[in-house]
Parts: sequence; C-alpha cells; structure tokens
Amino acid sequence: MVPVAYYVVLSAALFTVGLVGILVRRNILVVLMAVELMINAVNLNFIAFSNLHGNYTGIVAVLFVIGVEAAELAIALTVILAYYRHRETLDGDRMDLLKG
Amino acid sequence: MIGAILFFVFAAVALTAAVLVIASRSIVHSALYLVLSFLAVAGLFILQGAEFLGAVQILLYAGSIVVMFVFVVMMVNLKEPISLQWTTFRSMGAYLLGGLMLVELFWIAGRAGGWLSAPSRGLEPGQGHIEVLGKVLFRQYLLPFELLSLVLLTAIFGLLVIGRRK
Repeated sequence: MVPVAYYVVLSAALFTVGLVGILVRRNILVVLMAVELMINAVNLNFIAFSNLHGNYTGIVAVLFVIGVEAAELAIALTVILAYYRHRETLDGDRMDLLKG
Repeated sequence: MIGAILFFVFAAVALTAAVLVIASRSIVHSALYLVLSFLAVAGLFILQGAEFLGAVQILLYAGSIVVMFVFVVMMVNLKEPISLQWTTFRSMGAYLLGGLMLVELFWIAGRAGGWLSAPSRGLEPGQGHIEVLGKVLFRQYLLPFELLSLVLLTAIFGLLVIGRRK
C-alpha cells in the first residue's frame, strides 16, 4: 500500500495544473475543465484520507461534492450557451457586460 | 508491490492528461484528455478500496459531464482560432502563482510530520461498497442527502429559465 503522502503530492500537483490552466487559458470552456481538474484533485485527497483512517466519511463527502458539482457545471454550461447567443464569443477576457 | 506500480501508472496518466487538457489547442482534444484524467483518477479510487466511487466517477465524470462539454462545443460555432499565450506577462504571473501554491502545499504537508508517510490503515473490504454507503447516506446523512436533491431540482429549474430562447 502506497503511503498517503504520495496521494497528497499527486493531488497538490493536479490542483496546481488546474490553477495554472484557469489563469493562463482564455477560452471559458477550457477554464471550466480546469475547474473540474481542481475538484477532482480535492476528491482524491478526500479518498486518500478516508483510506488512511479506515473510515467511509471521506467517500460520503466526495459523493456530495460530485452531486453539487454536477448541478454547478450544468448551470455554468447553460449560462455560457446563453451568453454565446448574445455576444458570439467564448473568450473570458471579452466577457465584460457588467463593466459599466 | 503491484499496488505501488498501479499507483505510479495511474498517477502518471492523470497528471499527463491534466497537463494536456490545459495545453491542447482544440477544445475537443481537451475534453478527451479530461476523460483520460478522470479515468485514471477513477483507477486511483478503486485502488484505495472506494469501488462504488470509482464507478460513479466513470459514469458521471467520464460519461455525462464530458458529454455535456462536447455538446456545448458542438452547439457553439467557434470562428476565431484559439491562440495559446504561454509566454505573456500574464502567463508568467500564473506560473509564479502556481509554483508558489505548490511550494505552500508541500510545506504544509511537510509540517504535518511522520504520520503522512505512515502506511494507510485501509478501508475494510466492502466499506466502499454501495450497501454500506447507502445505509450511511440514508441514516447518518439523511438531511444533507435530501437537501442535495433540492439543489439538483433548483438547478433544473435554473437551466430551463436560463436556457430558454426569447
């Protein structure tokens, strides 16, 4: 059995990749995918610690995360589609309708 | 031993695919690499005894979520070519922030002491199965579980309102 430190390191690396993706990419769909990567990294940590303590609480937490995250993603994609119908762009830098 | 080998294989696949999600020029390629990353993480879940969660990960993430992404890509018509800007001032700031956070996370993990490198106790066989999880969800966590269904219902109404054509 691999020690939990390995999972923590892998999770930190995945989280950082997601963060860099959010900051570097401008296409809003790729930014959402990077958010997914970060959530996945967090889930990996939950399971690793659940495994460390021999307890199912982490698994239950991940189930809730997945449920909330599915709702969030569906709404986000719908908003993106609605925005695209108005402005014909997916560039996050040009989404400035609220700038005033 | 075999567990360690599998861990490194899955970890390498997950990390490489994650980097490729960020780095590929086409959004469809990004979505496909996202599937690969999710599948590798599902393998890591199963490796740690959370079999039901691994199945949920494959069905929900690699299945439906990526299908949603691909549908949106199909419905929007991207005329402008996607430009990747890896060397701008802003990207440098992003790398700096990412590196800073990585160092920070490692520092915190290093301070946690020796228990992080101790072998895991491991889930009892069957503790990650749906029978145990179902009982837990419907007894101990009944209220959050029902609230979650309310969240999903609200999301459906929100979708219908936002997605409606004028």
